Amino acid sequence: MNNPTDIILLSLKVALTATLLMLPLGVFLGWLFSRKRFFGKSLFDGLVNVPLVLPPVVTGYFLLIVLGPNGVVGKWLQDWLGISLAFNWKAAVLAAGIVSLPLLVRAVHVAVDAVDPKLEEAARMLRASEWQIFFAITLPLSANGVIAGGVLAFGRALGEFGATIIFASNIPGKTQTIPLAIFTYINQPDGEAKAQTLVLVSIVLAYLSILLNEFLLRRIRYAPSSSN
Amino acid sequence: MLHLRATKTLPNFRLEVGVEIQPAFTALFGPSGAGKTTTLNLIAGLDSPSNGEIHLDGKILFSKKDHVNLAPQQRDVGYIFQESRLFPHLSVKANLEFGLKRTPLKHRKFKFDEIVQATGVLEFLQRRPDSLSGGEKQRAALARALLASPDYLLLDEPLAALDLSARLSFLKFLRDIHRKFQLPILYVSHDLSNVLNFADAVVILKDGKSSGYGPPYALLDKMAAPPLVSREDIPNIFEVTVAAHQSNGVTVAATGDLKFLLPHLTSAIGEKLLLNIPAAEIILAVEEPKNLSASNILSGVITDIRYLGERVLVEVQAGKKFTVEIVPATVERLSLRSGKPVFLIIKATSFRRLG
Repeated sequence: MNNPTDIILLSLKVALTATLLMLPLGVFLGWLFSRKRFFGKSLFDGLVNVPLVLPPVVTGYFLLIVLGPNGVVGKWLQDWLGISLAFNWKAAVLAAGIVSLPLLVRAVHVAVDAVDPKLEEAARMLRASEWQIFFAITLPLSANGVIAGGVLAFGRALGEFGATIIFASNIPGKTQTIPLAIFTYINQPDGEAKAQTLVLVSIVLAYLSILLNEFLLRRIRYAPSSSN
Repeated sequence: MLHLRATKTLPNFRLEVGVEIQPAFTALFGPSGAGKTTTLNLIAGLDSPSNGEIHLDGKILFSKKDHVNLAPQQRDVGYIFQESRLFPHLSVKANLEFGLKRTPLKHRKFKFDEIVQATGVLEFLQRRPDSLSGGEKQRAALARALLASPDYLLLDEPLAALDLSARLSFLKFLRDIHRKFQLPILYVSHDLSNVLNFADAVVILKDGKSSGYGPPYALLDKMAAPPLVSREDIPNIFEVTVAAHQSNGVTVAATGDLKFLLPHLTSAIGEKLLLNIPAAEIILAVEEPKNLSASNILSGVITDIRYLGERVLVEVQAGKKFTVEIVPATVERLSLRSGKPVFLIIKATSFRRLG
């Protein structure tokens, strides 16, 4: 049996990797949905958001049939690139990432909505390219949403269970994160004490992420809604 | 020169502008809804015309025919919006540097210190925009736009948010900037007295069409025609009747009991004319002047004194209501107040004929 430290470290590694991996994508999608109009936008928006309301087990199942060893994309990745995305820690990252992405996208979407497009026009008249406008104006002014979304996504990734157990399975030392370990211990006759330790750790980690969120938000001094 | 021939068709509005604007301090004047802001946006590249072409000093900014539509960033046009649109997360200094650092070195026309000094923003460079007053924000926005070294500056009613005296001092300041840096300016204005006092030329926009371009006084009758402004808003407009042509080359025109002596006019006796005297061209005296070259001396009584920033408008009842523009120091020097008898001195050449 694994010791709790390894389980906690694996959990943190999975959740952190998933968050960092999804952060650029989530910021891009949030901006895209807020600022751009394109064909199939609502369909795409729905697709990104569907894991939010779908039972995570179903999301895991879809991941398995697409990216699993016999999946459409998974088989191709295995045969041509030698990459296996199921039943390892990368699978846990992907499961956690896909499930937490909508939280990030929604937070960024709302935050970018609140950035006055008139400021972007002003930047355009000051010779800033569209990239520079995004990084110098839009992103800093929606930083609160990005931070809140990132912390929320991290918390969600840390607690991911359903999609992970289907797509990454419950392999101690490899894919067994805190929620999976708690589930396992509770089903063992003598596991209750171990489960309780991890429950406590979960509470501490959750509390720490909220503190981190507050700390980061306090560092943004300006009022993002004022444009004059 | 700004060559502007463009149409923009919207579901319930059609804009059609056709004008060649000489490099000067030009006012774009018209009632609200006439398409003034849209016109600026077309020049800036924030909006695209449905058809036509826009050139600036030979550079093609837009041409439907040649499929040219330069991005706003490539037009070398500066824009000061209705609101200052300073970036709230940056200090005033960082706002000023935003355009400057993105302007290629060889294209830079102004030095940072020079603009900071000319716009008077030095004292609040380190502050955040939300702590500035309306006037300070406008000056910071102006400094920011200038530092991006535009070839042309657009201003969209930057004055709407300011009170009248702040508005006038900003306009005066803007005119100084225009003269100092030889920067052509096109600014949107609702206020006819601003147009008359500050602009070298005016473009009239009415119902989505450009319907006149020229020096403000030459277009005064056009601007004064309803529904643009009511005639009462323009000071010193008099409808007179030609009374006599004297042998010394002076034409006498009468309105009520008043008689004006004007340079010789070809108009027939009995003909009605519309005359205007710019408020700044009337001289005020507290004693009856003698041995002057000016031909018109009227006696009257001050009825009102209004302070507008660096100007003072004195209303005088002298048979008709006259408005005289003076500087604040004069009020004190001559101890002017309501009810005081004064004399108005008007040179024959100060009269402008409107129609």
